[in-house]
Amino acid sequence: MARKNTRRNTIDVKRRRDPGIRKIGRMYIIMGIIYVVFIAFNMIVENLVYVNTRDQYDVSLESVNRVAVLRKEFSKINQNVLVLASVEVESEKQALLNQIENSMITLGEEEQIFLESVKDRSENATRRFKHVMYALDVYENKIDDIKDRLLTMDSKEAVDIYVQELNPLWMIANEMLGAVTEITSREAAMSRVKIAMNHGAAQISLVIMVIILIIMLVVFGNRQVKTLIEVQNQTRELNEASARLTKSRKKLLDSAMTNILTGMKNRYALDESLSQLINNAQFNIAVFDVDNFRNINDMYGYEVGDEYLSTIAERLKEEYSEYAEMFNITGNEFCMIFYEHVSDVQAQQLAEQIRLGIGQPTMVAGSLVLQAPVSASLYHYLPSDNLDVNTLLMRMDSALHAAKRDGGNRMYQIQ
Amino acid sequence: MRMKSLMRGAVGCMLLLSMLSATGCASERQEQNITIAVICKNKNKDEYWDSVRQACDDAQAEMKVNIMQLSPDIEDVDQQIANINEAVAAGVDAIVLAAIDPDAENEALSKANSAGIPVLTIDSDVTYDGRACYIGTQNASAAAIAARSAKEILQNDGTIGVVYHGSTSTATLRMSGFMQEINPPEDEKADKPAGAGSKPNNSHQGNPPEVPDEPGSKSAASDVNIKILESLNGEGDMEISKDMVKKLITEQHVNLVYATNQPGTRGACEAIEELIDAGTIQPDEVQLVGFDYFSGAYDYITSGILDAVIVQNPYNMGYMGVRTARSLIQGEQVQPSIDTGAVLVTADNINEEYIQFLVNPSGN
Repeated sequence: MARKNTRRNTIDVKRRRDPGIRKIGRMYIIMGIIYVVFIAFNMIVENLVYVNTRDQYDVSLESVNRVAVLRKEFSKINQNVLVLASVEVESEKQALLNQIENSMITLGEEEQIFLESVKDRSENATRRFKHVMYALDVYENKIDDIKDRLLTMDSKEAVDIYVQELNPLWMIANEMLGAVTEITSREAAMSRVKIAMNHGAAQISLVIMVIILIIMLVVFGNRQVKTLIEVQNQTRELNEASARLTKSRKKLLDSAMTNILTGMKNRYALDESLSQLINNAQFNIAVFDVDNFRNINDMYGYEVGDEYLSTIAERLKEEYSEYAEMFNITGNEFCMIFYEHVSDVQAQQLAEQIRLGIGQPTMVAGSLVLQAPVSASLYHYLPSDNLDVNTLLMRMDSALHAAKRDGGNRMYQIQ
Repeated sequence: MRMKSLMRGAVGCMLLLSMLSATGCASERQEQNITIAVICKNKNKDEYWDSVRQACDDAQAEMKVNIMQLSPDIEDVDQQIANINEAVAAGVDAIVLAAIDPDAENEALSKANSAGIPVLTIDSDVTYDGRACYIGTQNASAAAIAARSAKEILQNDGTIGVVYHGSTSTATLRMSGFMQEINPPEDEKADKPAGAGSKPNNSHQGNPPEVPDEPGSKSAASDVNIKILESLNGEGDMEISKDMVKKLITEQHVNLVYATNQPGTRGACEAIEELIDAGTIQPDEVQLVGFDYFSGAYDYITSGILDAVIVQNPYNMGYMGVRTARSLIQGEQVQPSIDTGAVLVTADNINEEYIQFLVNPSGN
């Protein structure tokens, strides 16, 4: 569990830094833009619908008002006709006739305005209004027919014409105008309902879209985070595999550079170390060789010889690792490159001390104590010596063999 | 799972929308529950009754009411009574009736009223007191218009022969209204009533209808010298009317014939045409003023045989019938009588748009 939390924390830290997070951020910005565009679109559509329906509503209301004007105007004409039929004075008759004619012009204009305003919008209102117009036409034609005679016509005949012919037309027109008002009012009410419904529908669609967008954001976001975590896991696994590979490669390399018997670095490792140092550093290097080691092998066998060498190697590692890098360059030949902190004098003392240490009695195979003298060569190398690795080692070997030739158990320092 | 939630949300929104629309239509539904029975005189393809039916269709579309159209196959009073009973049984909210007989249907109408169904009449009225309203032509007024036209045609000088259609209420009123206008009684001349709104006359078939003055009387107006020589019964039949008109022209030598209904007018047109064709009379020698437009009337008018015809407004009768019935159902007060008007059609105005609409409202 603790391990899991650690892992999650590691991922959280990585998520903050990962470019994938920026990608998700961009995605959210795009979603935001889509949302804003949708709201703007929704507002425009709603506004258009509203304006259109509002227009219909306004027209319906205007129609109601215009019908009222038509009714009033026609009513005035009808009233004047009745008065005209009753009065006796000719000048009064003429004045009334003029008024009637003027009102008829106004009425005709109002008729056309009304018809224009409804004819493309309401089939029912248009049809009904045409019936009003038919009645008005008959009324108007009758007045036209008799207007010359009206001034001299006796009032009985005028009243008869009014009662029997004109007034029924007015009554019918009035009823039909009532029907027109009813139709336009009903349509105005329907427009009101439509406005409310369109507004409601737009609001609901907006809410639905917002919900869908939020769901999309959550779903898409989650999917992105999951993908990111998977990628991060894969990267981590790859890194781990790569680290393992490096480690095993190093191991392989180490084994190539290590003497299996003593566990010390071998001749290749020595070459590697020397090639790094030889051109730009001064250092002390010593080579040790057990004198007459072959006799031990011959006398006690290779197994004892090997154990003898490995025991010496262990002892050297224990005692001198802090002073020098150690190599086992051949079976019974050891090399030490003293670290920088070891002075030349100290190196000489340590080399002698090591030479003597290797030559100390050593217990092998449980009970056998072996002791052999050791020869050594020591070289205080300076970059100005300007040697290559092989030449250096040959010089070391030459000094070592000189020590052995001179009876062994001694150390020669290369000058 | 997430998709299911989304679907549930969407369905919820749709329900909300449908609830909104249902609320918006509530007021409309209230009116759509109203059913009005309209009973015409027959189901025949006939311009007059087609106009009434067309008006009912228009009213249904505009007022959002249901119309139940019931009519006898032919003009049969028993069938029409059955129609009234059918409407009552169907539970209609009002009955609009064009009565074939002014008396015979009173009992059925009374039953309808008892069942709470208001009744109103169009075109032809009944004698039943319980009918709420009569909507149609005021026949006396329409006859007066015909009479004024006759006077104008004769230029106040000449003789008139009348062919009437039995002793129906319509015939009576069209006779009396005409004669009263031609020969107004002296005492009524100064302040004669408009002549509208009389109740139907119930005189027996075959008897001449009551008229203000005896046929043959001279107009009392000093400047009018018009005599109604004779009134003959065409019995509402075209052929009989035709014979009667021929008799009026050949025996009485009338200058003008007045026919009180459509078959009479049609018969008169044919009679005059035949007499002209036969050379008995000269074209324009005999004038004709009639009632009700018919197919073929256009040619008679434009050829000068039919000088003027009174055209009623069946469309207005149908429309106003439904509108007034709805007012009754909604408990509003209505006038006992509504005059749907009558228009005189002559060669001068036959081509006017409103006249064409009047004679052919369906536009066919």
